[in-house]
Amino acid sequence: MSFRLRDEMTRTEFEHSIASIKDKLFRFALKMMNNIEEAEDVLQEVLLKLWLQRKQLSEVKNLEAWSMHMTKNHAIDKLRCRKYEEGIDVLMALPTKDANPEDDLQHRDMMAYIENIMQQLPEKQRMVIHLRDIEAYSYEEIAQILDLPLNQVKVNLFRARTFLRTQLGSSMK
Amino acid sequence: MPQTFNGFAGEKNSMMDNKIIDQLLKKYFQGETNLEEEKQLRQYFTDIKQIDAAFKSYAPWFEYIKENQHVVSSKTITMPKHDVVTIHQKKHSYRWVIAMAAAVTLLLIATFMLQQQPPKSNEVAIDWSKYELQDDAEASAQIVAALKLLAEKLNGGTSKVATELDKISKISTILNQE
Repeated sequence: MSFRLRDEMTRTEFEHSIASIKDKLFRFALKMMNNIEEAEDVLQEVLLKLWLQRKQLSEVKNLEAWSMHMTKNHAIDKLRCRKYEEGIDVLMALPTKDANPEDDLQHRDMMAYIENIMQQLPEKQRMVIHLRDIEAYSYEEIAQILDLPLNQVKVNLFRARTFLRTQLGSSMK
Repeated sequence: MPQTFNGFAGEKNSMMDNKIIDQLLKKYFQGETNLEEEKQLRQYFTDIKQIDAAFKSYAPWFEYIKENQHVVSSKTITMPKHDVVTIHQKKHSYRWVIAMAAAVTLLLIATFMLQQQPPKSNEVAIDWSKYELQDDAEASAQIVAALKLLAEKLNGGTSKVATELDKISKISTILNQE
């Protein structure tokens, strides 16, 4: 994890340094918000906060985990304010495939099915499985990001994967 | 030594690879795989064209992981040219100074007003002992005078009562005559 902030860093230097984590923060926000626009708002808020607090944050050891933690908090705040239910918007962000339209449609249906499974998971399980399987964070880092004890991270991951296995198994029947 | 999946080398190795993948999947769903083993699983499901039928149901999940890892934000985010927080903090500290100044001024006014009032604690207690009569004769005369005044007042009251009683008796006489 090479993401660091310095007291005296310029705006350009900051914008350059966040490039390494920007998409991770966006993906995590998107997984929580399930809405591209809102996820981008969360990203904007988090990056702005990082920029404004760069002097205080220059001493933070694992700034990437800290940033992910901030993203989680911002997303939760936004979710609390939300008055309406969002539809599945995450699929819109997925890259398109160069396959023929029929295959692409089939593929998208499958991705929608998996996304639906993800959305059925309780929030904690969804966050843990995202951070582990998509972002490949260690258990310790996930515990730090989500402010959870290590054993809770493992329990949530186990439950999420068990649910996933059951759903995937039933989809093939 | 644990076996690891290193990609497909040929058909003769497929049996062995399947065994490894099967073990890895079991560990994965138990939440016991490490990051390296999870990477091997992702490689198997995304790089291999002929996935074994036994594992096919898991393929969409690993495909989903791969696709999600490539999701990026299309929004260009630029930081503000001015350090908003510094201005914000300055604003707050300015307000704080005003509040403090107002509090100090009020305190000074209150202190000044309190100082203007005469101190009550400095009042001298009356020494009644100097008014005490030392001469017995004079004391006796004063007592007699006081008793005389009391007797006059009491007599005044008695005569007034007598007058009123007299009036009542006159009224009762008139009433009896009628």
